[in-house]
Amino acid sequence: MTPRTLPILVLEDIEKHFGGIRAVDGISLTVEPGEILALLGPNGAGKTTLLRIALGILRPDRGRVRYGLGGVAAERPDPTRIGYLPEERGLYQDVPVRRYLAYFAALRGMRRADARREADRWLERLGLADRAGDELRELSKGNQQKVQFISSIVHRPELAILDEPFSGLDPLNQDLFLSLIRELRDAGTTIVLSAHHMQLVERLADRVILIRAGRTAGAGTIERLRERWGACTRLLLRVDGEPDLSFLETFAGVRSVRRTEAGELALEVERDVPLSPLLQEIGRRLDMRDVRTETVTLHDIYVRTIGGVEEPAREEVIA
Amino acid sequence: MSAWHPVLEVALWEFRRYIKPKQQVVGAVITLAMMMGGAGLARLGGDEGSTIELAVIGADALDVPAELDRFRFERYDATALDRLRREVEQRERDAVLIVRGDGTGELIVRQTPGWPADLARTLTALAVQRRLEASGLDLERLAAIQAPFDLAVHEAAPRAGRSEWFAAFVALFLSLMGLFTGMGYIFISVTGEKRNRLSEQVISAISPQAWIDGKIIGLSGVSIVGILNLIVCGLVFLVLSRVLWDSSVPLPSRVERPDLLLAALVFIFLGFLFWFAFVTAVAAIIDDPHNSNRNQLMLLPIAAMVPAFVAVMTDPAATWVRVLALLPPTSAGVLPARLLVTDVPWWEGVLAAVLLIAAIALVRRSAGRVFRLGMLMYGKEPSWSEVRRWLREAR
Repeated sequence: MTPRTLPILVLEDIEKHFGGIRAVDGISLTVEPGEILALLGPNGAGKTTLLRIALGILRPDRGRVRYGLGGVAAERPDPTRIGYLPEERGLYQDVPVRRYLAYFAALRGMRRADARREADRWLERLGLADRAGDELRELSKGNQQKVQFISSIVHRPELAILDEPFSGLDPLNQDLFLSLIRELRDAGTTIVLSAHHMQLVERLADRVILIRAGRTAGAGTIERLRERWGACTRLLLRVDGEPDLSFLETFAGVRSVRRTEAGELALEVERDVPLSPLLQEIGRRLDMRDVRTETVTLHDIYVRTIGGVEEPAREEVIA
Repeated sequence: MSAWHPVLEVALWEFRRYIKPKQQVVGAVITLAMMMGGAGLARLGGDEGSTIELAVIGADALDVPAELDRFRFERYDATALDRLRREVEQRERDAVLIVRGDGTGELIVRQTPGWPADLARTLTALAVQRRLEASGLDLERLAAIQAPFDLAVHEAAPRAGRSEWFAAFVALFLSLMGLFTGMGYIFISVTGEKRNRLSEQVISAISPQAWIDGKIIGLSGVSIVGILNLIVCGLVFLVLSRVLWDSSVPLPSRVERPDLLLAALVFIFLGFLFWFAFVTAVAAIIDDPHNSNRNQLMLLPIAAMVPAFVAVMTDPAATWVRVLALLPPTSAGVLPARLLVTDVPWWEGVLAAVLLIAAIALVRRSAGRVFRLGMLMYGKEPSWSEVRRWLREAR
């Protein structure tokens, strides 16, 4: 019989108050080995508090945290197996890059020689090898962020908790961090991250948990959320003039029609409905210049879920 | 990973952050230059050892020679007095001495210099000599008559000579310097880490207690290096001033009781641990070091060290001094002072050590709790009631 793999992290019914504010209100989640789990939610939703509880920095007022790091069940985190990139991230500005990285690796249990070697490897990988001896204050903001990222994973953690890893990054560095996180996952590191960048999360996460006001508002793979919250195809049409669109009301499966800021007509059509008859009818009645389809994005799901729309509903047809 | 591993990593990190060999050498050179410059200026400004030229009226009354000891005498007639007085007023002359036949005299100066006592001694000796010559008494017989009773003192437990008092004072001064150096570094280190948002990164990796312990050990090391630096500078200064100016300082020729010296050093170090733990907790509850009134708590160690200086200077065996030498946190300063200048019963030393170690354990634990929560509180300072609650939870 194959032994059952322990989850890396389990949070059960976590509750945390700060004074009279309930920051986390009964959230439970399980993180399986090797997955990338993203926590999504607006500012103040309780994501960072939840991550701090997962790290043992904060103690929950109620609930239980369990770890399965190294295949061993434990009630306390083993910091040598966890990496953390905090949202509020700072640096020892007067310290050389390599020494800074070696220090944090050593704090997390690495031998000093190994820490220096691993730090050099990552600096080389991120194009900072020639800056290893420079003080951190001499680095650009982008390079400082790279160093901060390295410091959270230089000791090869089993679980990396990354709070807003993409914040403040330009698009090139966002892509770089995306590929680095994937690389980590491929090398066996389990990732839990929080982010506001829906497009990046969509490209990266295996599962997401949507958090609103300290509670879980939705959870699952992106595909599953899509099925639940946005099981439709978006049809974007460019047409001439101001045509009469009332005929679209009679079409089964058309959930909404609206005009986008770019002047296109956006039709949300239930995914199971065949598009050919609809397009033929539109082609017959309207002078259509362009047409394209788009599936519902994580951004849409986020806005609907966090914005308070509990269940998908047919929007008012504007025609 | 052993429990000591992160403590030692932090200690080494803090030590290396603040001890940079080049800066230490530059600092030592500057300190030595300041010592030498100060001493040199004092010598230039002072008149010790230099020759003083005096205009003398009535020199015949004592048959004042042209030169005696460090004074050179230029004879004048009484009619020149007004002119000489004006010259003194107008800084053209240092002083005028008027000698009278009745064994009295008058010195006219613009403002009182440092050497009149020397002049009085010189003139007294000259007057005694002239009177003896006049009386026909043999100088050797007079010396025999006036010879003091030669009382040799043999101490059973020799203590607290001038040199011991001086050494005790220097030891207290150095420990105070070490205390303030360390406190300064701790304050800079903790408030800097908090301001730079480094707390979470560290606390996610190691326990706050390991962090605070490492800081205290590392920055105690920085303090000790600072003290050693001062001692080395002081010794070089003594050697140089002896070579250049032939000056001497009353240092003990040898250590009479190395055991007591060691005990005093241990107490001073325990005092560092106590105050550094306290200061670490205080710094952790300060959000903005420039605007917080909690900075004033940093002055508490001074209040605890003052009795030590008073004890050295007044009565180290007084009851109030003995009580303060037993109770922490004053014991960390007062007991070493007492050990160096007076006899301390062994049980007082042991009791004071036990109480101080217990106090350190309590402060360390409480500081760890305050530190853990204080370091994660950004943007505001915890209220005193919050700090009290944290401390209650620490028990």
